[in-house]
Amino acid sequence: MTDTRLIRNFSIVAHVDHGKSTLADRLLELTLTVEKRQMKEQLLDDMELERERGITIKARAVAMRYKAADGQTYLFNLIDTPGHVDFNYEVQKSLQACEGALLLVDASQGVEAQTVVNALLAEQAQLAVVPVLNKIDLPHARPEQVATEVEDALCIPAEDAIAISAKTGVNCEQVLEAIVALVPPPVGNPDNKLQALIFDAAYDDYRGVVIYMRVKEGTIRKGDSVRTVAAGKAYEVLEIGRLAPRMVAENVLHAGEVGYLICNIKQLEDVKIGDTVTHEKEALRAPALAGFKDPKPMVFCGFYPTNTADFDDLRKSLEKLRINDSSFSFEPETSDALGFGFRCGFLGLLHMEVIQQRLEREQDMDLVQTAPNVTYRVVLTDGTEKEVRSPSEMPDPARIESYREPIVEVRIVVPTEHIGAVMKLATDRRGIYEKTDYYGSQRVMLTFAMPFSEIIFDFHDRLKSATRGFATMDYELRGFEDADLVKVRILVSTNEVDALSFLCHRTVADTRGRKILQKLRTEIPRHLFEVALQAAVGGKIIARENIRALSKNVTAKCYGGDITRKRKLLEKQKKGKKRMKQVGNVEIPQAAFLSVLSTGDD
Amino acid sequence: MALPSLYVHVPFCVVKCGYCDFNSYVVDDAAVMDRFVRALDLELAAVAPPSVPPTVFVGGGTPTYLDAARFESFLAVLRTHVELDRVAEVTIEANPESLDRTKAQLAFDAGFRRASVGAQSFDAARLRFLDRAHDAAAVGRAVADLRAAGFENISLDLMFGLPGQTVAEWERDLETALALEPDHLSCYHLTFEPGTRLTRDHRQGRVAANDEDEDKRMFLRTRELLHARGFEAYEVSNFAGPGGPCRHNDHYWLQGDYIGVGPGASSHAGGWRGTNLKAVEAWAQAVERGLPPTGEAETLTRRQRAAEAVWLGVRRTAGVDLVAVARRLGVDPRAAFEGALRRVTAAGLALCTGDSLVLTEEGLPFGDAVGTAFLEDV
Ligand SMILES: Nc1nc2c(ncn2[C@@H]2O[C@H](COP(=O)(O)OP(=O)(O)OP(=O)(O)O)[C@@H](O)[C@H]2O)c(=O)[nH]1
Ligand SMILES: C[S@@+](CC[C@H](N)C(=O)[O-])C[C@H]1O[C@@H](n2cnc3c(N)ncnc32)[C@H](O)[C@@H]1O
Ligand code: SF4
Ligand SMILES: [Mg+2]
Repeated sequence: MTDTRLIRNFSIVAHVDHGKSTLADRLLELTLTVEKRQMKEQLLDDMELERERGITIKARAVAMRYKAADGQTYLFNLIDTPGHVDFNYEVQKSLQACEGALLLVDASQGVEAQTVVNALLAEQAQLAVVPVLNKIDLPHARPEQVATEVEDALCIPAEDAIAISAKTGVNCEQVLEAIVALVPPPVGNPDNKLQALIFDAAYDDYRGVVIYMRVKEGTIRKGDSVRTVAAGKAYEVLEIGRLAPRMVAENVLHAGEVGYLICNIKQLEDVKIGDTVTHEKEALRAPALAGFKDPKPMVFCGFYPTNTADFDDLRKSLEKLRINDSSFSFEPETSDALGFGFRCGFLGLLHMEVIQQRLEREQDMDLVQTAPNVTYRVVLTDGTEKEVRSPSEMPDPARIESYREPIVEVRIVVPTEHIGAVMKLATDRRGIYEKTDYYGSQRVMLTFAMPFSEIIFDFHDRLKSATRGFATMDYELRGFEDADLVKVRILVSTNEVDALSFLCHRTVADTRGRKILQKLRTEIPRHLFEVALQAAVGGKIIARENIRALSKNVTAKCYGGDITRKRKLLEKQKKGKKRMKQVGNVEIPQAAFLSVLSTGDD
Repeated sequence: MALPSLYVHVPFCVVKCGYCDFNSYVVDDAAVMDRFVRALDLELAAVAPPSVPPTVFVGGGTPTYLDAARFESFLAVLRTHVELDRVAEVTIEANPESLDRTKAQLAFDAGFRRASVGAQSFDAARLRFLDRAHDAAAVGRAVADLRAAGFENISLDLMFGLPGQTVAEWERDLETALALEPDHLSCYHLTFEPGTRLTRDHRQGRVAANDEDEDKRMFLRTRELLHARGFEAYEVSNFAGPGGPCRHNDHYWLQGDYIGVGPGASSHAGGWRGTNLKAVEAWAQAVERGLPPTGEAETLTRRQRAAEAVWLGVRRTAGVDLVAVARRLGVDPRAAFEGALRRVTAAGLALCTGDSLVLTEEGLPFGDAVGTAFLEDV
């Protein structure tokens, strides 16, 4: 068995794109875990979407053996984590399995919003944080300055931060030595009762559920009878082992080690991330370790199959994806305009985009995605609170006492010259300024309290363009606050179109209402009569548009050669009509609903 | 069964007009034209039209673009396959820039009795906007040449709804046309056809569409003015003067059968509709190898044909004879398209008079809306 003193469990955490996965590549090479010829960039990002987008979405564990300068061979368990805010939950889980974290900072970019967040997470998990400055090969790298930023922002001494290039490999050897020196070995006694923390799980088509665990106390062997404490289910250990990075079976795993566990679990739902594995025998059972809070979906949108017949396929696809991502939720929903679909919840906007793309890519689904919205709460006259995730769930207005909306704390890291622009944008979006933290003399972190609904409405894009791409942001749910919300109804020739109604803050009702009418105006074909479009709050019309009546609609020249083509043209319009919804005597094409409901350019 | 009519397509033009989506190419290679005439001969031999079809129409492109010698051999080819002298209506399209006294005479002597002249407009700026290769005076000369050659049935093509055009301006064009004493008039509302230069310019904001309400007024005014001058609107865009209606075109709207020869020409035979390969080269190659040069074809169901019969039929002022359609196709629109019929009559767009469905005064500008109600119901 490996002496626990020779084990080092650590994560790499950083802001998006600061080079975590690339550093992981170098460590795999230096420790000869992966042969050079099998090496490819960001080896651990093996999901198609990860490779294509160059981001990490799922955390990955990998074991390595390193012969250190002191002559000893150490067992390293590295967990590569995603940098993007939406996948914080993945980072949190990973950190529970570690004693240390490499905090990687891009020496040309400096400390960014996620650098701060991830460093805080590591500190909360009481890990040893080892600062590493990356990308020093870049001509505009400024390691000394960035070291100061790390000290100012994170209160981590950084004068000894290792300056490396994960790309060229410069100084990466030093990182390995620093892990040996600075990351403490795991505590835990192999002779104690078994306590293994489940920090992740994945579904494998051939082997069923694969659990990723960190053995905190005791020893687990192949063939053991084990149980999951919270779920209360008993299993036999069919296989255990390490990830190197492929699964390598072992007979035993001891306290301090990280590895996988296969025990004939059929569905991922049966496994609770954060649960503890212990022995089944009454006398050998240990209590549960502290687990994790389940991540709560923050952003919602509807997914509808483009082809209504695909509803069941969509359900199957969603179920399949959920197998490996328990952090998104879905439930059936019907829309007057779009038919049968699902209301899905996500951790954030990137998460939503990733799921949508995986559905289209991996599951080959044709989807209509509605614009995202947040969860609101309504306080009813009887004093109870109800969650509202889509306008259709709104209770009768007579029963509504007041509304509450989610508020997030937004942290924006930006060079000082852009402070003004950020302030303006944030306050325009109902943000309340809270404080400024200075990182060195060039960069600041501004903190605002802001309604979450304002963030999911293209805030990130606006922020990027207002700061020439320099700002980075991060947000965290703080709670719900009273809000002056209104339901905006959309009327087409005085008939209300349910599917287009939406909730928003009173101050933006006019502009959003008008925007929707303008889109509708271009998408609804002209009729033989004039069509009036209106947006209303309660009984008050807040915006109005008209679609002119058709003045003439007849093919001018119709020779023998024209007939087929012109008829097909009319038939095409008619095909569009099949997907039209009749509201009063107005026909609204599917495309009109899409342009209003779907995300995308305004 | 009634015999099929014959359409012959000549796909050459001096310039490609910006609005035009007809199958035509600017070609001045004599070899291509010779090959066209030879291949046409082969195609006619292969499809073997009746020697005396009900009507013959030679259109384009620009048939008169062929120089006099080739024009003559082209006419000779036609005459080897069809007895033009015995055909009830024989029309040729003549463009003002290329028709001359000689070609007019050659056409007349070959058996042509009806000529359709593309005038389009009598305003110099408008003609330039349309990329026309002739001026207003050339139209008068063309008419004179045709008359001199013996033509007694001359039609003029005009377009309205040009950007910025007003009813008053259009009336002047109509008057100028009437002054040439045509026997028939076609007045087409300018259409932004997909794929044309005009449509591209329109999309990119370089050309604005004319005011719609003004266009509608021009459309209605045309019927009124021409009626007063003895020209009856027998179709959406066509007006019969002393020469009567164009039987060949009327045949299309009545869903008759026709054989089309030449690149891109369409044929119709009892629900089958095929269109020849469009490129001269591709069409000629197929014909030369003894293959049918069909590029695309479709076969309509009886129900589709019945719907199409209504769509095409309501274009005619006389309306569509629903009983005749039922007899011809075995699908009675009154039963098969009951819903559509109810909708268009309830909306006041059309009404049933006797056996026929006819557009109402209000329905006149909305013929396609009526037609679509039926096509939609297939
Ligand atoms: N010049 C230079 N580029 C680097 C270096 N390290 C990483 N990169 C590049 O930076 C980009 C991001 O690298 P990744 O390793 O995917 O970053 P990451 O932190 O894992 O990104 P996420 O997982 O999406 O948060 C890639 O294009 C790398 O090639 C370095 O030392 N120098
Ligand atoms: C076969 S075409 C062209 C005949 C001949 N080559 C000419 O240009 O005079 C017959 C007529 O269709 C009309 N036409 C062509 N393109 C049109 C368009 N885009 N909109 C309206 N009418 C059109 C023109 O009046 C034209 O004369
Ligand atoms: S309108 Fe006539 S002349 Fe002009 S390109 Fe078309 S076919 Fe040729
Ligand atoms: Mg990564």
